[in-house]
Amino acid sequence: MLIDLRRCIGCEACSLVCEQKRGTRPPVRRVMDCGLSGPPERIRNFLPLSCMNCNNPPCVEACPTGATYKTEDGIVDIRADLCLGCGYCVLACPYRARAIFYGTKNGASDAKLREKTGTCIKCNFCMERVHSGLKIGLVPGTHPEATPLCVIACSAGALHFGDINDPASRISRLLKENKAVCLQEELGTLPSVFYIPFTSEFKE
Amino acid sequence: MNRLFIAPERQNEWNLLAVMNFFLGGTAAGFYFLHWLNLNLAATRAIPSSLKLIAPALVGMGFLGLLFEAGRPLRGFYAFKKIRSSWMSKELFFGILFIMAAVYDFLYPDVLVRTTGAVSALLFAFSQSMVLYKARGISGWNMPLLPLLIFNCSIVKGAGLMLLIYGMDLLRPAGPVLWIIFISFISDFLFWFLYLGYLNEEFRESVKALRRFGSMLLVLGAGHVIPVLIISALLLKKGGYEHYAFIAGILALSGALAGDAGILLRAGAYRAIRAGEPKSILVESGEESKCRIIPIESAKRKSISK
Repeated sequence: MLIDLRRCIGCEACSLVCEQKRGTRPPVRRVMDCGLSGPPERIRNFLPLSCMNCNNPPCVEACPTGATYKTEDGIVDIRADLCLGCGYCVLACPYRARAIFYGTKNGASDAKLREKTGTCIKCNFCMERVHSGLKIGLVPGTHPEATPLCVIACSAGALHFGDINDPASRISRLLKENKAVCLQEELGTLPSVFYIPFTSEFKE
Repeated sequence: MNRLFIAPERQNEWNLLAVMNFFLGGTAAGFYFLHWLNLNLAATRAIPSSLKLIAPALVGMGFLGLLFEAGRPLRGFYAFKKIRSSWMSKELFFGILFIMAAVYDFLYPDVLVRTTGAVSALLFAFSQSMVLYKARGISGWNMPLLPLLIFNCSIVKGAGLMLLIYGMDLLRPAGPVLWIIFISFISDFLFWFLYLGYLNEEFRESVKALRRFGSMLLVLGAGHVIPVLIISALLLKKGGYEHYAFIAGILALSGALAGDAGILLRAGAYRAIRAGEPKSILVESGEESKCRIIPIESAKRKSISK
């Protein structure tokens, strides 16, 4: 995933659509307010934050039950039926991208939500959606049916999704054209989410 | 450049129940190990058999606290699944092994089982320290000295309990055990100083509360200096100071509890979220694009578009 911070307006559409789809709280995708940039621009900057689906995920190593696992295509997911809700992975994640779902106010009526109550939740790049799209030959990032909902809902076109190993993909093109950053790079987690930084903050 | 995006924030996932697990588990492990040493070093007076169950009971209570904290406590048995990779699984495994060995030794005294109990107690204490160290989201825990500090703290907590029982005249530690207790207090004092003096700016910010005078007075002054003075008196004089051991034990345990609560709750802050220098992630290399940041993993990763 690539997030163009120059375009993000902080509308939180990504966060809302994610919360609506999952029905869980707290939202696993958040838009953090990073404050104003320095003069003379004084632009308010936002940072959409979710699971980085790291290549070297500390949460997988921490999980005592094996509920957190990494799929073949690199997505980190949770088996809700195995999760103990111990919170260790929440503390192991350097991106604050995980949370424990303690149920809804009115009690979860949906069986899926009941299963998730008391367990850890996180973004998995709408894995079911991407995989079912791939099965019918769609291309993630190009076809909406195979693309994470947050990317589709982004009103400013700041979120991009796709295969960086595919030179023809939109995400590859954007990464070639722009310099990008990873968060907490020094920890060696090798995140799969890249950011094109705020222009006002990273002038060269 | 390492620009700060999001400032550190206090963790609220683990609370007093986690502190209880670390305090009770560490105390029990340290106590059982010292008790085992005491028996092997010809103590003049061994612990009464009724008190032998203190250590496994304390570990059990700590685990019970953990279960109350978990969102799905009935799935507790799943936590043994990842013994090879997760330190929390290791902690539970060695904790349960320790409880079983200690209870068996209580019912059918056996040197081999007792030794297994002592070794598993040490491994349990070490696993506890690694659980904190591997929490990479918390800058106050994810520092190299922490495992040593927490492990050594377990011996100190066990020593505190032993001194307390000694003060009640229910056991008499052998001379070498008293020396080990003395050395563990001194080394723990040094580890605390090194831990609090670590120079990383973000780390210093997260342990700020522990560096306050009141906190240091309780953890280092009451928890270490006074017990060390009393232990020194016990080592130098042959008699007359036994009742002070009770005070030393109480102070050591209070200081250790304050230390555990301080590390888990006060120093438990999520690390700041930072970005590095902007750089080219993908560069053209012949016909194929290659990734600079994740060259090996990207090559291994199965392409999801195919």
